[in-house]
Amino acid sequence: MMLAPTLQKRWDWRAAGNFICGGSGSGLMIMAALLTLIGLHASGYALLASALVATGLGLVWLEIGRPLRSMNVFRNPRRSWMTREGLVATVLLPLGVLAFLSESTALSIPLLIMAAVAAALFLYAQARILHMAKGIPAWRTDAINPLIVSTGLTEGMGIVLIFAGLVQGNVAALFSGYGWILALALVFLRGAAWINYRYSLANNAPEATLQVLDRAHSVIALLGVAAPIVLLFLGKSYPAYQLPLAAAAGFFMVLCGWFCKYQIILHAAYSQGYAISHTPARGGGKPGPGLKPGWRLPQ
Amino acid sequence: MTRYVMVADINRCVGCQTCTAACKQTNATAPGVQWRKVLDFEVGTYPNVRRAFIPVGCNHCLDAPCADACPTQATYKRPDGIVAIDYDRCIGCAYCIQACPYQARDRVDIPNKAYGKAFGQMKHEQKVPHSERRAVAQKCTFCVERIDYGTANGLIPGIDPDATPACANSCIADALTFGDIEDPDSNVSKLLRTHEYFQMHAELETGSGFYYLWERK
Repeated sequence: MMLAPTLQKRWDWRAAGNFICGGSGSGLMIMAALLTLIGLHASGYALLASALVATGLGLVWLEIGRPLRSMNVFRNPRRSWMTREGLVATVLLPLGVLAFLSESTALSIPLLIMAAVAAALFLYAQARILHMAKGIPAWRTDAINPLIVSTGLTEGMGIVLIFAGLVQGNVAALFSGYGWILALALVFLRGAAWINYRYSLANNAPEATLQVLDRAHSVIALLGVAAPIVLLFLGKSYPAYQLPLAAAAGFFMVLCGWFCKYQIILHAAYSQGYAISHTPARGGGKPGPGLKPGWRLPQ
Repeated sequence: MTRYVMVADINRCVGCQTCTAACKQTNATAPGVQWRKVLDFEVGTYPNVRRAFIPVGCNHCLDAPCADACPTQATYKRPDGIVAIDYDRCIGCAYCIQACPYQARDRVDIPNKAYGKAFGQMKHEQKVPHSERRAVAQKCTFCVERIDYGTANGLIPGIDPDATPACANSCIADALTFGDIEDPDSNVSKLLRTHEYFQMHAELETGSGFYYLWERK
C-alpha cells in the first residue's frame, strides 16, 4: 500500500481539456468585450469563445462515468462550484452566440458585455473547482485562483493576437492603443501569479508535486513570460512586422497557459497521502514520532 | 443529536487485515477496491525503527469536502453524521475523489475479476454484482444498512453487533470501536476521554470522524 502521495489518475486529458478550453474561451470573451469597448472590432471572437467553452464542457461530458445523468450536475448550486460553472455556461454560451450574430447592430455591445460578465464568472468558477479539491495539495492552495484567472485572461488575449490579422486595422490598433499594454500587463500578471503559486506550495505540497513544478518553471518563465514580452516590444518597435510578431506573441501566451494547466492538472496533482502524528508504544516503550511520507518538510 | 465515529487504538492494531476482509465480505466491493484498509507505517532507520498499523477509510467528516464538491448532491451528510452516496444520482464526475484528502473514494467503471479475465466472474461475484455502483463514486458507508437496521430495531450501534460496522465487529484486537461521539456515556466518548488521540490531516479542518488513540492518559 502506497503511503506517499500518489498521482491522481481519475481526471485525465479530458478534464484538463475543460480547464484549457474553458479558460481560453472565457478569457477570450472577456478580452473581446474589453477590446471592443476601446474601439477594436472584436465581437467576432464571441463565437470562437463560446465554441471553446462548449468544447471544454463536451470533453468533461465524455469523461464522467454516467453521461446520461449529466443534467444532475445542476443540483447543488448552494455549495458546488462545478454546478455553478455549469449554470453560468447555460447563460454564457447563448449570449456569446447572440453577440456574434448581432454584430454591427446596436445590441452587439450590450450582449458582448453580458457575455463577458458570464465569462468572468465561468472563469472564476473554474478556479474555485480546483481550489475546493482538498485532496490535491497542488490545487487547493489559495494561489490557484489568481493563477487560473490570470492565465485564462492571458490565453484569451493571446487568441486575439493570433487572429488579429483577420480584421483590417486591428493589428495596428492593438499596437497604437492600449491593446499591447493590456497584453503586456496580462503576461506580467500571469508571471506574478505563477511565482505566487509556486511560493504558496514551497513547503506545503508533496515532494513529487514540487519536482514537477520545478521542471515546468523554466518553460513557463521563458516561453510564457520572456518570449511574449520580447515579441510585443519588437512589435511596437517594428510596425512592418507587427502582424507576425503579434501572432507569435499570442501563440506563446496561449501555449504557456495550456502547458501550465496541463502540468498542474495532470502531472503535479499528487494526492495528500497518509500521515500519522504519533507512532504507538510497543511493549513497555514510549510512543514515538509521526511520519508524513513523500513530503519535503515535516508538517 | 447523534454523530457516529470510529476510534482506532493504534497500540492495539496488529495489522492482521481482518477488518479489511470483513468489509470486503460484507460490502462485496470489486477486486482492487478496499473501503477499509490497514496501512503499514515504518518510521525511522535501522536500528531505531518503529512500525505502526493504521486503519483508514472514509472519515465521515463533519465538514465533508466531498459533499461540498459534489455537483449533484449524490454525496450528502445524514443527520447521524454518516456521509452517504445516492448511487442513482451520482454522475461519476470524480470531483469528490479529488476533494477527499483521505483517498477514501473510488470509481470503478469496469470491475476487475477476482482471478483475472481468463477465469471470468466467480460465483460469489455474480451473486453480488452491485451494478448500481458501476461508474459512480463509492466508499465506506460505516455499514449504514446495519446501523439503520439496528436503530430501527432498538439496537445500539457500536454495542450490538447487528448494528455495528463489520470492521469493528471483526477486529481481533478490539482496536476498532464504533459509536456515538455525542453521547458522553458511549464507548467512543469514554475512550476519547481516557486516551490521547489524533485525527489524520487535522490541519485541513475537515472535522474527521476517525480518531486514532496513541497513548493512555
